[in-house]
Parts: sequence; C-alpha cells; structure tokens
Amino acid sequence: MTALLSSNINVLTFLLVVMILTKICYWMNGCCFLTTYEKNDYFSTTPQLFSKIITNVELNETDMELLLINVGILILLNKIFWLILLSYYRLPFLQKIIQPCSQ
Amino acid sequence: MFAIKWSFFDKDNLPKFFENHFMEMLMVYVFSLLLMRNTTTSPVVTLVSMFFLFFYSYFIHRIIHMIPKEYNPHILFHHNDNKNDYWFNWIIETIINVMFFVTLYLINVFLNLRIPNILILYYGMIYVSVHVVNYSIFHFGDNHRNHHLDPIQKCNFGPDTFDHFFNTNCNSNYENFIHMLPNILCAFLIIEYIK
Repeated sequence: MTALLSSNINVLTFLLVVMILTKICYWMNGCCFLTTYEKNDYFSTTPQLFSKIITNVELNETDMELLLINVGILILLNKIFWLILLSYYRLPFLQKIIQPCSQ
Repeated sequence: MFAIKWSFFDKDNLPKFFENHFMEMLMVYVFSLLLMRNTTTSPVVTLVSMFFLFFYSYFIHRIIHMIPKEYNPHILFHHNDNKNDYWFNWIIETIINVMFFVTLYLINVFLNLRIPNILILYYGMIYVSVHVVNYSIFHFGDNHRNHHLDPIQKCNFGPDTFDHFFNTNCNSNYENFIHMLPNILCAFLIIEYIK
C-alpha cells in the first residue's frame, strides 16, 4: 500500500530492497516467512486474498505467496522506472500531477 | 555471426522469457537508473549502456572461445576438469572475468564511448559474481553446465536471454534467473555506498 501511495524514490527503493530480500528468503525456504505471522483460524492471509482477487484458479499457498511477491516487486520497479524518467525529462503536462506529491 | 532467432518472440517462447528472465533484467535496468539518478546522464543513455553491457558480456565470451585452445587461458583454466587445481583455476578465471570489464573500461576511455564507468563496475560485479560464485561454486543453473559439457563449447555463452535471442542455446531450456537476485542487490548496494 505504501508503494502505491508514495512518490518518494528513496522510500520506494527501500521497499524494493525489502521485497527483494523477501523473495530471496522465499527462494531459499520455499515459502514466504511473512505469511507465517499472518496465519490464524479466522481471517484469510494476504496472499489468499490477493490471489482470489485476480483468479478463480485454486492455487496452493506457496504459489499465492510467489504471485503476491512478484506483483509487489513489479509495481515498485515500474513506479521507480517511470518516476525517474518523469523527474529527468520534466514533461510539462505531467508536472501538475507529480509536483504536489514531491513537495 | 549473429543470426537472430525470431521465434524468441512467439507465443510459446516469450512467456518463458517473462517467467524466467524478465523481472531480474528489469531489476538490473531500474537499479542502473537509480545509480545514475543524481548525475547528468540521461535515462536513455543509461538504458542503452546497460543493453550494450549485456550484449558485450555475451559477445566477449563468444570471442574468447574463438581463440585456439593452446593459447586460450579461458579454456586452459576454466574448462579444465582437474579437481586438484580447482581453486587455482577459479582464481585465474576470476581475473579473466574481471579483465573483460577492465578492457571495456579502457576501450570506453580511449574511444570515448560515453558508457558511465559506474555502470561498467555495476554490471561487471554482477557478471563476475554470478559466473564465479553462483555457477562455479554453487552450480546454480543447468545451462552453464551444458556450456561446459558441450564438446566444442559453442552454446550457452550466457546471459541466457541472448543465447535464446541469437540461437546459441544448447537446448530450449530457459534458465531461471532467481539465483541472481542476491548478486544484483549486493552490487547495487555496494555501488550506491561507494559512489
């Protein structure tokens, strides 16, 4: 959620590093360590909620986690990519949109 | 020499590229933009330089395999199965890999190619660490092993994306680049710290 709201490149870079570390842990352990803190008898975990939003296909827990991690990283990469391009070229028609956030 | 395999873009192969390579390659490009953020270098120059560096690492490995075996340090030391000399060969291969990028740095200085030196260092760290640590020590990825198993060593030069694009892959297997994440992240953090 912070990644969607913030337009500060330093914040986004920090979140990207955290997400990459999460993916490295997922690759080493075969599951996401963050999901273990969410598991309970009543509420769904974030990967379950997210995977049900985007597909009706029944996925196993680890695939749901991988889906969420990959989408998170892609959002951050795309956002940083476009913010850097926009901040360098200073496209006039976009200044109105990005300036209030950067101030 | 560089015959492009256009089937790389068809609906059977392109999803494999997105599944195995896309995110790590995008990450390398975005980190390179972040490294060049507070400089006068434009993002387009940065992206073109990074593409050139990817291509250079593929090209230099192909070139070095054209040198006759008797005088080729890469084949004499790296494609050597003698287990007793493993660490000696490993050090020599590390130096050879570093020299790939030192050569590029010198070409860049003398010919004024305008490739930012930070990017040469950044990509060089990723390339060398993936080759000498991930492939040579931990043996991640079957594709590089196939390069060594091939009797004439004419396939899987790496990076795997370029092998598929230029039709120099040993088989249709796409290497999963996920093992490169620690290398990419460490290279970025080190360069960000020292620049």
